[in-house]
Amino acid sequence: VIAHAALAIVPLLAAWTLRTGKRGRWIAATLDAAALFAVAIFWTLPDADWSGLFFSASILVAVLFAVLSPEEDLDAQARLHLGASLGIVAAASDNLAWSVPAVLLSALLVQETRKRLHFFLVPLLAALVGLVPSVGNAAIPIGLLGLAATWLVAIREVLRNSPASLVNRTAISFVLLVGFVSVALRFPAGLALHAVALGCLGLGALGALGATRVTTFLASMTLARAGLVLFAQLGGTPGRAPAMMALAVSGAALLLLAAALEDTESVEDGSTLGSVSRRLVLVLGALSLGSFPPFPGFYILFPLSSAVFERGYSNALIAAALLLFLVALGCLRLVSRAVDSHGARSNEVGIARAALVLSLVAILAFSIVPAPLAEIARIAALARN
Amino acid sequence: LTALEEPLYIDRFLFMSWPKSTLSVLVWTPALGAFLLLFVRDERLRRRIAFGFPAFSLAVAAALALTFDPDASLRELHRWIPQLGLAYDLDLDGFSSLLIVWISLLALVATASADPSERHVDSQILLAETALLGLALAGDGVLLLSFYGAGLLSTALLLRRAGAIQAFLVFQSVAAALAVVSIAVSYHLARIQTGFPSAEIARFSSLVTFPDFRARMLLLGAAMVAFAGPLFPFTSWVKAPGLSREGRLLLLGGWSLAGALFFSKAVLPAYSGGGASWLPTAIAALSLVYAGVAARLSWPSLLVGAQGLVVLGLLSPTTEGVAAGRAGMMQLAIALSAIAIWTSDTDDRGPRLTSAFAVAMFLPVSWLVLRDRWNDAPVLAGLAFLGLALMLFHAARRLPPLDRRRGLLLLPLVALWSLTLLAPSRFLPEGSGTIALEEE
Repeated sequence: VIAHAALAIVPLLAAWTLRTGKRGRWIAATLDAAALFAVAIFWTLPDADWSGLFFSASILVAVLFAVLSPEEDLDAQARLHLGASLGIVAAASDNLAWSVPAVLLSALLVQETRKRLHFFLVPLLAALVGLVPSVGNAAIPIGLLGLAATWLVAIREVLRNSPASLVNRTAISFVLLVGFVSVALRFPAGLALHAVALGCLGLGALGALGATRVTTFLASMTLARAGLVLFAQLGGTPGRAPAMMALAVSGAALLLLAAALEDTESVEDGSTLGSVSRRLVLVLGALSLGSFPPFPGFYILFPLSSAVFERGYSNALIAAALLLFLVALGCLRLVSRAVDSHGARSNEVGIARAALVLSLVAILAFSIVPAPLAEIARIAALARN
Repeated sequence: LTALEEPLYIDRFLFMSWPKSTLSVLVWTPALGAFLLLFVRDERLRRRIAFGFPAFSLAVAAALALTFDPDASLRELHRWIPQLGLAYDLDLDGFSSLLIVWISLLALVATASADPSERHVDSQILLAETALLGLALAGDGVLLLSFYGAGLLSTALLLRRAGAIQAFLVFQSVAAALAVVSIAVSYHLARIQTGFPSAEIARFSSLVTFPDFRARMLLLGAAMVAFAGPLFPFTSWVKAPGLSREGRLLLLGGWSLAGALFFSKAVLPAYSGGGASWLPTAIAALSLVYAGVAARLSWPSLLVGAQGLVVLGLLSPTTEGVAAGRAGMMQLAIALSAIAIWTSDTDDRGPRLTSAFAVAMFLPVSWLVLRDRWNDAPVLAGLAFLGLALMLFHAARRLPPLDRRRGLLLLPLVALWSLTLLAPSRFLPEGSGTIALEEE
């Protein structure tokens, strides 16, 4: 409890320092890095809450990446840190009565919601109904669907209407994703989870194939990855470790894609990028999100599908495979524009150094020597039991 | 990195005449060259690296092929993701010993053909070489798919235009998705039948399955080849316009191997013998007919026709037929590369001559395959024969006079083709013992 409380307080401190100006950004980055270091130390403790630490580390990496990326809107970064703090609370708490409100509150805080508050209220109430113990098991599906709907509205609002940089917006949507998934993975594998997982994958696939705006594309990808993670939950305990790995890979890939697509409006703008390193990062991010071999996240498809099939969800598995294929095609749409050698390379903006370093580290860690990540995910998945 | 990984217990008992990391050195040397090229600005040094690394690969591959001993074959086995039962497994058998020589030679020829003013083309060729070498040597299903994906992307990069890349990627992604499904099914079966997850290809042949399930999996694998190959009617992507010479070389000489190679390595050993092979056989025969009646004997129609013949051989019920199909796979790559050496389809004499060469090079294997298939599917074999005869007729009718200077470029290809005819036993599938081919 003390470890998680400490980890949740650090982003709050960072949010406060960010209010003091640009120097505060470096202090915030140092605080985030220190929190990550603390996670590594807590991980070695006997009887640590490995699952909560895994989610907290995912959130902190995303936050650190966003702080290190160029951003004028410090208010947005402060909101990101508030969301991160609540996300850590949601992931760490065993009690749904704490974690569900934490996720809902972070969804309300990370974006100016006054104009569209009604979008939040209905699913939010539905999510809270799921918490009422007297309603019993019948309320669980309503709660999950309400939570999913709140999360969906939140990431749409953040990605499409926030004035912050694309990296910052994507980091916020990933923090929300981690909070949502950490709670959703505690729900039993029933019809509601089934519907939410396939629904997210379906919406993500449609968006990936048809999106013209970059923000819509990123929102679709976030949805599709959430669908994949939740789908793995249908496989029970053997499916949970691939779900954890899929979550970590999603974070790295979404942030890389956002960093590469910064300052672009439409998906077609992928063919105007002049910087080779930026195009490379774009390709790495897009292919990782599409689970394309040999990029990060591809190999988790095997244990994931095996676990889900073993539980008897063969029809759902076929549907998910088709939807994942459509998501991959959507990613290839972006890749073909990035590697088109006949495009007019008018956009000369390079890529932030943090994005380059993250891309190299992520590719090395997740593709070439993924065994440590697989081991961490396995420990975290078993701890969730 | 692989040296740091703990070797699996079986690795200690393998007798090998080469150092254990030789296969890794062979596969990753071109990738190292591609990485170095990113940092080199001097043009002369760039060319030296671009030629030096594939030349080194070719030397290692040739040495491995010449010293290949089936009783002490080279294998490199390390833990990769033990939690998921995945291993870094490279394995050299008789067929792959020839393939690695061809792929290394192809990369060298592609580098020589490339336009030096295109800055990243050398790196792309070297990356494609690494992927294709890995594809030929991978002994783990997931590792095989990793190299497959890498090869697909590096070949797509060489197509240059967004439209051509997208068409290629759409068809090839369908093939890749089917390949992933095929390996995922085998992985699941291995997990539930042995209690341990594994994607080791050598284990696939011992999987216990019902005949109707085997038939379905065989169809799945054949569908994968149809999209990747391609076979008729999935031929839209092969008409990529404005293809560069090195792009065409790697597409025809390298990537044309990928689908059939995956089929023969990962699908046939596990799922052959389940029946229902008539549908892919019919599609393969139709592909030959399509190539025979094509208005012009250009590389797209030749590629489709030759792939049809390869699949006919691979689906053959006898070991000799399968060996002929595998030989055809390699000869398809060599023969069609001859076409790619000429600048473009607009220079009509070159493609005409090399098309004739390609068809002629295929004749010995065609005879073996069609004779073999005549016994079990005479109608389809007859159709295929008709297609082949039409292809021959096209080639003979349009044969131009031989241009000596350009004819010289064909010599290394003809030499390698002749060498493949001298070593038929290397095309025999694993575990077929020492059956002597009648033609040997």
